[in-house]
Amino acid sequence: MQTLKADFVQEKRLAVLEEPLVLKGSILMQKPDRFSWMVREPIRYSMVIHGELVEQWDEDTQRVERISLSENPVFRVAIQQMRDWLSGAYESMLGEYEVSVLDEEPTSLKFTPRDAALAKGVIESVTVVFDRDERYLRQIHILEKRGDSTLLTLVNTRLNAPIDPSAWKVTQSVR
Amino acid sequence: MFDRCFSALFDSCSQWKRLLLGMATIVTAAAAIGLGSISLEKNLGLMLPGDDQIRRAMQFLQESHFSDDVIISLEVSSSDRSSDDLIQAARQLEGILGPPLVSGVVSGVSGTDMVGEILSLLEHVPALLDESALSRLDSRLDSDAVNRSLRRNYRLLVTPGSALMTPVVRSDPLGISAEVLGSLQALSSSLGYDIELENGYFISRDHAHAMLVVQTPIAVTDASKSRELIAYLRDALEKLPGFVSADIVAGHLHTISNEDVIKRDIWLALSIAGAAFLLLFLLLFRDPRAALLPLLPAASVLVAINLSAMVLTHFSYFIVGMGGVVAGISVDYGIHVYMAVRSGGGRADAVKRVAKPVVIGALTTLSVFAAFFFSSVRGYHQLALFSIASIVLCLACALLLLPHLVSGPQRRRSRTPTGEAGLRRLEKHRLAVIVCWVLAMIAAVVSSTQLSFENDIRQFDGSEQYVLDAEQKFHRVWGAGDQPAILVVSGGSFEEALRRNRLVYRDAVAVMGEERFASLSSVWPLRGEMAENTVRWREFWKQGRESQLKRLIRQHSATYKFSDEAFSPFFEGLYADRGRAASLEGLEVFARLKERFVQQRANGYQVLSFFPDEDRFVSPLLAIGERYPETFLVSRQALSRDLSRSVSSEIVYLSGIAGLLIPILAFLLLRDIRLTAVALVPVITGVMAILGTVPVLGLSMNAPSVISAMVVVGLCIDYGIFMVHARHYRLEAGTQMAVTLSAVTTLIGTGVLLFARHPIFFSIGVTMVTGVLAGYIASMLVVPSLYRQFLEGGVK
Repeated sequence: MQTLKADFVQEKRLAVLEEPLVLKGSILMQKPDRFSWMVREPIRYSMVIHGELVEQWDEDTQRVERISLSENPVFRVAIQQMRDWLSGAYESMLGEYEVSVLDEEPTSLKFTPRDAALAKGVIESVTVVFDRDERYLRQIHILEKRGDSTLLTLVNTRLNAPIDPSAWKVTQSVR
Repeated sequence: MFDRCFSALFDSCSQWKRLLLGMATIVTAAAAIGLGSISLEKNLGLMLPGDDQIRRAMQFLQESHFSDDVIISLEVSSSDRSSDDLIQAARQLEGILGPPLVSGVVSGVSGTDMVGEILSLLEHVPALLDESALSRLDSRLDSDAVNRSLRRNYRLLVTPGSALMTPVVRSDPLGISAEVLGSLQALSSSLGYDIELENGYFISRDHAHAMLVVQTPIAVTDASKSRELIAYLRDALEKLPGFVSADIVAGHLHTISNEDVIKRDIWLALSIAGAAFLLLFLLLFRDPRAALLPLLPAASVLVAINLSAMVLTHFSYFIVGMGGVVAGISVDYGIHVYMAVRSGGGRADAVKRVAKPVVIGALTTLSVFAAFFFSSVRGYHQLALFSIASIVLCLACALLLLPHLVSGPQRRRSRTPTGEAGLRRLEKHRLAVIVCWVLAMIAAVVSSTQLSFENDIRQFDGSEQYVLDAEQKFHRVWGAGDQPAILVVSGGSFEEALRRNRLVYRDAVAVMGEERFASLSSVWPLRGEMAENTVRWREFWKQGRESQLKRLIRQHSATYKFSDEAFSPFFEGLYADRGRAASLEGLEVFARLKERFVQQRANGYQVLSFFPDEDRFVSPLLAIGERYPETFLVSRQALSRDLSRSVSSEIVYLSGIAGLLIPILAFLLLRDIRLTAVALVPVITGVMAILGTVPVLGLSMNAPSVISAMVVVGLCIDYGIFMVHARHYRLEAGTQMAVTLSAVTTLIGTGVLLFARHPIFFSIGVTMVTGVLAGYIASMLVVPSLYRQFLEGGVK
């Protein structure tokens, strides 16, 4: 897979919030090191990563904030994990996670962190569910040790579709 | 007086010549056998000046084994392969490597629970924040600032991968730990490589390389074990998939490569020089007995090694190597004796005619080496002892034994060409010769003003191109080119070393700024400070700030729909017992920092701080170090400068002693100031030729080339004394031919070093060839011209 374009709906059930947080937006990925996360609801927020540089924009501040992944190790790990789940690079994750097949039709895999996993203190398990034709990832369900959960559902997924260069500008897509 | 004594000695030895020859043979054979039981050291410390700073820095580097790790850089050489394939290959290699040659492999930071680490760190924050940090925190406790913090927290929840961030947000809603984390992160990544972590593996920014740090018990200085290690690693790399290529970066490769280059150079030098010597002696003299001439210094060196090993406790390879070269010059004594016996009709006692100049020549050469005893370098003392023993033995054999071995009727009456007639003709143009010499000397003086002295340790590295190419490529991919300088602070305990380090840190930061001085003291408070910080933290919150913060959070939480319990972990831990605060090393991030910045020694601890090895930082830090007796600086720049200063002053000192001893000895033996002055002309010419030619060739002087120059002085004074003595006493002892042969043999022996690939051999070759050639030409042309011009008539 060279590129990925998808819309998403993410439902987060967090102890920190009074009610579930439902995000709607879109994702872009392009190998080797481009990643974009755009949220349209409930706030407008955009993040574009190119190599080590992270650019963020949100409607409240109306400002672009630039940070370096190399200076934010936890953020780097968090982003890397999400990219790995989305890109389907599960083979390289076998050192960190134990995998079991929950269902075959459609394929559903459950990943449980090993002791060596960077997120072992936080993640209880991650379940990924594919489309029926197994080409696309449909859902990622992250269950945390403290009881929080995140369900990410991808829709309109397109693999290896060309991506307009302007899509990598952090302020373009959500404004 | 001398002649009478020598004559008596020679005659009495003649009576016992069979016994003496038998004894010499037995002693030589015993020495050859004894060679096997002598253990030589590779310790280069013997050759270091007796400067405390230099010794301490070198000892630190040797004991730290900083350079013993091997780094392997894997590269995906196929464009359709990804970093996932690279990680698979790294994992495979990690699985293959193991004891006894490999003690561990670090391929990343897999296994670190980063979020758990940060949460643990948050528990220590009260102990880590000092008064000024609390004051900054106080300014963030107003309504606007709290609202900004909550908005930032909310925004974190909408980022991808927010699952990992949520626990941190709950425990630190104001981002109090950001400052500490920033400092820790800056220190962890300071002076390191350009690395990304992918699935816990070290991956380059271009995602095409993976890095593994291979830990090994094999010391860089152990050549044979290094060879085993590199072969083992190469075997392991062969097993990787075809789309992965690998580069090894290791000090061990330098050791192996240098050894290979030196072996090739020695083999080349021995082959060419051996063949040339044999051809020269046999074809020129057409006498198989001439083959004995190179055997004399060889036998003398063998015996001298055994004698020196009996006297010295630590006898170094380096000394034997240098001493062997030095002793090679004593082949000249045999040549002079052989020529005298030949020109004396094959009579052994013909040696009496040349005994005096041979002894004078040997004494002046010995005086050069005797000067080394005045050095502060222990290695020079050994060099002097070994060289003097070799020369004295060779001199004794040449004067007392050799004449009996090469005497007897000439098998074939053949006149060895001497070229004396041609040189006589040149004397008619002596004024022109003298003027040319003066002009050449002036040119050499002018050129010598550009002379520089090079003491950079890297000049002694003769590693082959493939080693250097791999390192260049590695630095292109991974960064971290130059080694930093290190400031070392010692203490009986870790706490004591840290306390001293704190004082040095404050001074250092004032000079160069925090960002350039990577020190543990920037993040690691003293135990007492941590206790004070904790007390201050509690007081801070008890003074109404806790309730104020709770109120402000409640006030703004509705906007973001944060629950009432959203930040309870923070408030619950506000006054928790921080008894564990004293054990920062329980946190992996601090443990890793301690591993890198602290070294445990037999007599305590050393805390290390790193900074760029540039003059503008090294000089002020040296000054700071002088104020604190428990500190010292390890810097290539400073080491090079100290070595340069120390070696230069040493050389000036030794040259001064040799410069005084040689003319004094020459005068005492020649007993004529004018004869002495003329005899010194080849010495002056040889030295000036070196000083003038080295800068013209774009080279610099270094320690080995200076020692070589002193050997040139020893040789050239011989040429001068022989020529002046023969001329003054009108000897027909084949002196010109003997001097020519001496020079030619030396030029052959050292000339082959011009083809050497190792920079040290090349440097010695250039110095010796230039000096000996110039000294020889001066002895053949300038000495007779000056003699004829200024001394003619002084015939005995």
